[in-house]
Amino acid sequence: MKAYVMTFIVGGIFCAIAQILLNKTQMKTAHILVTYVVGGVVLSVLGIYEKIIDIGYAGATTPIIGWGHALMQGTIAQIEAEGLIGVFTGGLTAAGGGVAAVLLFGFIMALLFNPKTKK
Amino acid sequence: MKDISNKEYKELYEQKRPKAKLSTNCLKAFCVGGLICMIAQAFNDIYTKVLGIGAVNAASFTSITMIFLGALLTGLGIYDDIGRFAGGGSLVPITGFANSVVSPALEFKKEGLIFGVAAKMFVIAGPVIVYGLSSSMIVGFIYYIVRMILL
Amino acid sequence: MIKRGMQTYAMEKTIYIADTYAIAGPKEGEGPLGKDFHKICVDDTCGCGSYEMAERQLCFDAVQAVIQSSQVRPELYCGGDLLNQIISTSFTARQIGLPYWGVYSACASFGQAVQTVATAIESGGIQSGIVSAVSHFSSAERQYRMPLEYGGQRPDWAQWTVTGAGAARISTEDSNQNGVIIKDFTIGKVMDLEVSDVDNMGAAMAPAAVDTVLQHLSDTGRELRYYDMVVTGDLAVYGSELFVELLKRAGIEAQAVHRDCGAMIYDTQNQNVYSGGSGAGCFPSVFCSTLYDKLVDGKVERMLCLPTGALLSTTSSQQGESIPCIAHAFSLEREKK
Repeated sequence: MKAYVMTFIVGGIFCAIAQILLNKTQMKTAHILVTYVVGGVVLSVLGIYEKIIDIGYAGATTPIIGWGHALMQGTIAQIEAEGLIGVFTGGLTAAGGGVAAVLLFGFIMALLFNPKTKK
Repeated sequence: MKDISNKEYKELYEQKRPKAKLSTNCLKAFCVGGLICMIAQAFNDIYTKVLGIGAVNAASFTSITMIFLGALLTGLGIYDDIGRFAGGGSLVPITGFANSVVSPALEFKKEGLIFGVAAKMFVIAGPVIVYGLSSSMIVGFIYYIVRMILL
Repeated sequence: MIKRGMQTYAMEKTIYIADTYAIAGPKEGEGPLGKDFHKICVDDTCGCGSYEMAERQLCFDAVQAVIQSSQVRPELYCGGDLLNQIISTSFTARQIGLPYWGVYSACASFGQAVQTVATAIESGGIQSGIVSAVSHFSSAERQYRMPLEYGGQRPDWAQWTVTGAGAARISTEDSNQNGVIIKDFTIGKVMDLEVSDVDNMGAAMAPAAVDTVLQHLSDTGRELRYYDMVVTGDLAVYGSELFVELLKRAGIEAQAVHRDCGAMIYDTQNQNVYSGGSGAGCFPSVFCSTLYDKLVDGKVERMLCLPTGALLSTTSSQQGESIPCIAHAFSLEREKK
């Protein structure tokens, strides 16, 4: 149960920070997402993001910042195992599943549905 | 209309502009975002505890499940309403990433499957992948050099 | 045509707005002006395969209606819209087969079209012409903003593109005895007070409207209270406040006579449209129904119309440029019997 409470809180905090950036700065959504991903990469290599996941469970892995962390951890693992080539192959080894899935699902949804006007 | 400078006008319209309801918006974002993460946690628990999948693969399966849900809700025309309500709350979770890929894929269907769906799919989410992968490679290279020197 | 002052031209002939036709989408139909439109689409795709084709259909239906109500065939068609290379209007022209001038002043296109046709009639070249302008929420959204299904938030001062079209027949003959005359018009100047937020169109366009009003008054020697109603195109609620405030600073009290089509067309409290309506179809759909009816019924004797337009493109705004804006004015009066 504690895991779910912490997931809610940590996930909520990442989203609330994004909301503050949206309302209080000139940043558009793309700026925020890019900042989060790059931030995830940097926090990950410094070993900080691992600790955030220990606290926040899926609240830390589900936001896009967790995708940056997954990229970085994959890169590190491949460097450890394969050397220099791991710099290039590591990211997508670990985090490629999401990209591949979104490609396929996006294509399928486009075949099935049409955009509807906003109410 | 020469009697007001650009700077004076900026002050005027910023003062007249309706104020963004920051606290309400943040609360909405917090709750919806937290809820989406809890759903992800539930899937993760099902994959690891019920189906007995290893932690690393279960995490990937969880991401893929959430991406599927985001994609489906986008296709059904629900995710844009969630987004208008929750703002950052539905933007930051991986479901929002799925929304940003699937929504242009739907929108540009009329231009065909090649030039529309496929070519426009990453107009919004492209930067996230470009900067995510590039930064992980650059940081990874630095990590590789530092590791060589230290060992 | 007689030039008055710097930018205003007074008509020498008696030129009537002889007939109008307005079509609106379902959301506009549910708004406070719903009963005034000649036609409301049940479905905003208008039975077409794409929103671009739906927009074209709105335009065609409105134009076709004012052509059919005329005993003589109009000699010129002039109009504009927001889609790239004004395809909605040009493709309508392809269908109706009249001599055609496409014009573009963004959401002020209707104003420019009225001025163009009035000039053509004054020159003695033609006796009657058709003007139109159209916009569609869903086609504008994809061209200027985000895909429809994208889950983003827009600020409270953003505006909602009107799905609607208006067309009018301008003629030397007043076939329906409506008695609405174009008195004079003022060609606007481009104003840019360096507003660069594309969600802040009301603030960007208000100075252009104010500039044109002040020029019109100084050119004609009139005071604002000469008019029973001063109508701006699509400043919406928040832009209207700025319009009134800027005029107040110039020593003119406009609150009582000012109306804005973007604020009129929706119930801005309950229809989820942020600050109000915008778009090339906003002014014409309100003008060709509600406002024209007021003139015909004699509820308004003199009206100053100020369609406002933001002359940006997605390219210019992505390259960080501010938003140049324009307002073209034309004044209408009831014919004295």
